[in-house]
Amino acid sequence: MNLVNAQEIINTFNLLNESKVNYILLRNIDDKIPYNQPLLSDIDILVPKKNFNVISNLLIKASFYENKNHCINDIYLYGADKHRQFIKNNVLLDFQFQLMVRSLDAGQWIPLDQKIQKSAWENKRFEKINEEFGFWTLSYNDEFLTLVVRSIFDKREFQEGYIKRIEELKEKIYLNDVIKKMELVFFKFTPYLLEMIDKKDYKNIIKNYIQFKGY
Amino acid sequence: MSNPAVITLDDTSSKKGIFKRFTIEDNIGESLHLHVDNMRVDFTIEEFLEFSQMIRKSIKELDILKGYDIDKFDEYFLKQCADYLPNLIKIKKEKIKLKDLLAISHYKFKDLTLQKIIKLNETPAYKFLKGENNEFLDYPQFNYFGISNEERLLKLKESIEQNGYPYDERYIILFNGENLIRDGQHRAIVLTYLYGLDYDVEILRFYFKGNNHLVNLKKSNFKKFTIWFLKKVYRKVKRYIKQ
Repeated sequence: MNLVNAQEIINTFNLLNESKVNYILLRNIDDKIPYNQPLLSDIDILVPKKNFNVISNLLIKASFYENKNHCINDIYLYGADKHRQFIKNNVLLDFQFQLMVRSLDAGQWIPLDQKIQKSAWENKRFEKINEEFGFWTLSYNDEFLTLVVRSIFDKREFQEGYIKRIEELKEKIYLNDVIKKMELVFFKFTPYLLEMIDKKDYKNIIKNYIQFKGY
Repeated sequence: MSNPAVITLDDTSSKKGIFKRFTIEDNIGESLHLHVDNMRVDFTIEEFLEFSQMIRKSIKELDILKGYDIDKFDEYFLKQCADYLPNLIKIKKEKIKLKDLLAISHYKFKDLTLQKIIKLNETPAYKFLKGENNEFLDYPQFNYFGISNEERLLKLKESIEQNGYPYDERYIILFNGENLIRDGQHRAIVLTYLYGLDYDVEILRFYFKGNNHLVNLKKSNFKKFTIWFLKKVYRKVKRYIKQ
């Protein structure tokens, strides 16, 4: 598999960290970032909208360019903002301004509940991989929630890498907090969903969700 | 915050209609919503089923099908002809040879689906039953969900072989003087496959006043093509401006 030059990714995150800009790397499935990131794979980053000019100027100064056609035909609802993509030497940074999901019907982008957005910023944590590389990312609770949400709504399946990470996070999350947040997305399906995750019954989650009648 | 799992169960919104917005949405895990213009009614699933039974009972009492029971008709068909039903004069049982019946067939032009009128023995479903080709397997279906084309057709064939036609008083339906099938196209195709084109079949013919029910494929294909073409141009221009 062709990979992105790891040093390019390391340099990019070092630039963001040293500039002290607010950002959150949304996921690092199979720990691919920075050493095993496949070509053409996006690096998904959450940023606050109000200071995005600072980040955008920083990246342009560092020889990134913006792909203006990125997500050009996607539809964004309920105040969700369009993704912005910046590229340099195969490093694809995909910025979003809210935690979002694709709606089940026509796949429009919809922001998650405000409480989840707030939690992402309040509870972010710094993950230090080694001496040369580290990044800001979601808290374990929020990462668990977003991986489940992304599998159901965006991917429409639970992929191996996602399942592996969800299983790791199961040991680290504070369940009561996760339940409260999941109820903002899955409502009365939440206990059934968590039970299926607990039993590792990932293959039936989406089918059972669509067919759920307990409300 | 909006529920990301909203499935539109039905949408009959119309700029020309009495209600500009009339949609039923399933907000999974939360509730069912009935939107009528600016009003929204929230239901639990149980409440919604009770409500739909009540509506069904009311429609029966109104006798819009002139003595015929709405339970004997496909809901999708009734929805499709809902606009014409106020003009319904009578429904008459008649006999017709299968070779005289016509079917609407969908065909692709690039990523656009258009329609044409053909004889029953020219339909992809008939050709599939005869083993002539498998075009039917990928044929677009509009009123059946969660079942493959092959499964649907073979189940229907099995049912007709076992129970005969019409089963449970579900007839092929035609409108006024036209021989174009409005409901029961697959039943007619299976009957053609089983008994041949010279077979006499009993059908129900809906008689409407006025011309609203007439099919004008040239007009609808032209409209679809124009919208499709304009959308393509709009996207290209939008992309060009953004660059």
